[in-house]
Amino acid sequence: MLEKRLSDNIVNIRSYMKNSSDLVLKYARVCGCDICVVTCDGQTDANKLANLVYRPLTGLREPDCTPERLSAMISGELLIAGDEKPVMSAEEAASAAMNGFCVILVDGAETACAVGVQGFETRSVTQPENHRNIRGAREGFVEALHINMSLVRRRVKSPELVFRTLTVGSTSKTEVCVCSMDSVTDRKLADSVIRRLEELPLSLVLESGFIQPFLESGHPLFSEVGATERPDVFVSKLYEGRVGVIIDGSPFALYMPKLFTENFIMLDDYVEKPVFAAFIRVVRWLAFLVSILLPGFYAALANFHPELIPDALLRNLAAAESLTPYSVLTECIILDIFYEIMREAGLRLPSNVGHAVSIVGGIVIGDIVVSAGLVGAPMLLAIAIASISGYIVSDIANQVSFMRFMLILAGGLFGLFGLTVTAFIFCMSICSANAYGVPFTSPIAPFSAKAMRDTFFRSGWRKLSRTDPDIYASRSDENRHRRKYDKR
Amino acid sequence: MINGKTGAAGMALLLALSRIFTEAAALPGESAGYGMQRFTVLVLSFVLTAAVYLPLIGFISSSPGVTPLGAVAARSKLLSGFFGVIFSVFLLSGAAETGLRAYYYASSTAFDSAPPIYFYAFTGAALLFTAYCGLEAASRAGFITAGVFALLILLIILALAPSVRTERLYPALTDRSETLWSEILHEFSLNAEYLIFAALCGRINRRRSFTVPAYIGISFAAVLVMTFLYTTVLGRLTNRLMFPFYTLSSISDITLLHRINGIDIAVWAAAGILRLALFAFAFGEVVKECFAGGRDVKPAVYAFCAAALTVSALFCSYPELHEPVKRISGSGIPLSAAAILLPAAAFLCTRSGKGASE
Repeated sequence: MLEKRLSDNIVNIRSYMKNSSDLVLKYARVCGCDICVVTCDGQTDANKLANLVYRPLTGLREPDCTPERLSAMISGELLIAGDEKPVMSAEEAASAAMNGFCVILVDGAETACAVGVQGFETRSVTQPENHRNIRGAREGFVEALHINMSLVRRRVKSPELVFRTLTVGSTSKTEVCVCSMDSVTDRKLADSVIRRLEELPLSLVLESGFIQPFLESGHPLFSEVGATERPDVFVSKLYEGRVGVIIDGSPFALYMPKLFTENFIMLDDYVEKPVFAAFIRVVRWLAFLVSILLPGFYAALANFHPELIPDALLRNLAAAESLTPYSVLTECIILDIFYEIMREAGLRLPSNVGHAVSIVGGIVIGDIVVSAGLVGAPMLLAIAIASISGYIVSDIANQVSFMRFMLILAGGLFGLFGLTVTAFIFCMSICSANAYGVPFTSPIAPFSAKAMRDTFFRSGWRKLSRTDPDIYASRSDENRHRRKYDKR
Repeated sequence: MINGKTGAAGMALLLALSRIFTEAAALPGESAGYGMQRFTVLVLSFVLTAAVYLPLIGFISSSPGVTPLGAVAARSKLLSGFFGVIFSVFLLSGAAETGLRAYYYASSTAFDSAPPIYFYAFTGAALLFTAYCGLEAASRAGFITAGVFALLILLIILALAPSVRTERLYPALTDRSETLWSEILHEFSLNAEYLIFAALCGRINRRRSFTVPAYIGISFAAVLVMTFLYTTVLGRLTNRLMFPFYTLSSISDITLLHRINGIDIAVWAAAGILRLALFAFAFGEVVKECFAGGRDVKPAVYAFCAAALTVSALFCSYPELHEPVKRISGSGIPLSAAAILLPAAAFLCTRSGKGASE
């Protein structure tokens, strides 16, 4: 409870905030009562504060006003703000101030009022860095939660879209918003996400990546939680029955469950003609397979099964490899690790320096290592093709790099049998994942013929508009049956 | 993850893959052989196989939600122990033979230069991981492997279509009538999937009875297509080849690659591991129903994997140990015995249980 004396409340608030220097206290005398306006520096908008709080307060004329009457007037009649809440304790007052509210304390009154006057600096809505598209909106999420919520709401002006706001992180008190489409989303799924967020054991949440592991099932390689910077992608996922989470301070929104096949589906596919979309999707799948298998396959063939290579090509390869001092496997490992180093260096550096690194690494070093006879040109080509192909499925680029490296080792050491068994282990690993009750590999395994119209290929909008957009449509028959049973 | 259930289609595909694996990865002396008698043998053996499933399907259909082993275990500890031991031995023998098939296949095709220890270490690691991931994951992997197998067959057909010589097919039902019955029995005895299905039928979500016709249909069609290709493309050469399907993939030139036997190796390595895993899951179910009072026993599954590969390695090192096992399992006696005794015991136990409750 708040104390009656203003000074005691101020002492309590100061003490709760450990005398933090961004605490701003403005004292004034209104209708014969001492009041104090508590704000946090940098969290409020000066214009809003002046127009919504100071101007009405200073204009107030009420003879014989008691503190309780004044407090009631402030919270009930005087201040008209969009976001207003009563404050009952010093802790609540401090928390409200840190969230951009201004708290008005009246000497002699045991209640106070907090008025939302948030106004901190935010980045403007710009095109996302990572998920660019050719045709479509150029808006990406920003760091401010409320702006992100408005970006989503602007796309779905329907009561079906429901936002539920929670606070996570015992110290950071980060606001997160759980979004879902009420009629499509499985209630159990939404409840499960909310429960996991409520039980989050973290004290500090700065980015969506902090909470992502707590929303996953713990698969060692792949995540069943997707992240996107694009509000349009986010809304399309919600429309399919997924649950979304927007985190204050992060331009990446999460959605779950995410299936393996979604890594090969892009927003642009839906604005192109179906035939082009189907073609490019097949190209993405091929690129994924090439990226993980090509170097390992090359190492296996060159080391153990040269008879599988056409004669003319084999002669060229043998001529190129005979000039190098290292074994095929060593070359492959060196080049792959060198590529990973370049990639990491290019990622962390400013973009102008990053380009220079790419040029030096890709052209200069690549050319010189071949002309100096350190590695063979075919091997360099295999690694280069595999690396570029890996970027086509950028969401799983890290997983692709890891799998490629392991397959190089297996193929180089144990030939095609090692390559096959290792690939099988990866396949089993992917197949064992369940994303919130939905098989991670669906609709391929378990196979759903209906869902195929938007998996490897994409049907036209006329056909797609007649199908169930629900994610559970991609489940196998028995899972859909189970869901219906659950709903009952 | 071991406790997951799977769909009927997933299980049917897994069983079909497992059956086709025995066809592609033959043991020494099991060559498919050239001649029209092969088709007769296939048709009759599959008819026989379908027939032995009938009592089991009859029991499953009449007692939904009950497994044959579960029905026996619920009524009689003695019978339950008897079937537990018999099934464990049959499953171990089947798994060891599968390991041996995979070894002979790998060492004759893709893994010729490496010592057996590498093969068993690699296969063991993959098998244990599959056992850890569970039946549900295995059935999903089965879908993908079956897809790759379908792609392989398609590529082989496209590449070898010009080499098909239909004149190699001739109107005859038998070539060597004196061996017809033994060949049928041998082909029939390759269906150890009966034991797997009998143990694992409780792990199928719905439409359990659908699994068997689907599995028999798919495997029959696949084996028929494979035999057609052997006969029309390889002709008499089939008699001298241990792995004719591997040869077909080796002579398939699809321009991009000289041969496509890399895909063949991928399919049969995966199918072999899946077959071994199916035996392990079946053993886990037998232990659960017959010895552990319905509790899941994960370590038993892992121990079975290790035991199967060890016995397989023993058979590999001492072929004379494998001979009697091969003779017994090749006679079809274990399969026939299980096909008669288990449904009969399950029917009796269920009826006597109903009588007692009435």
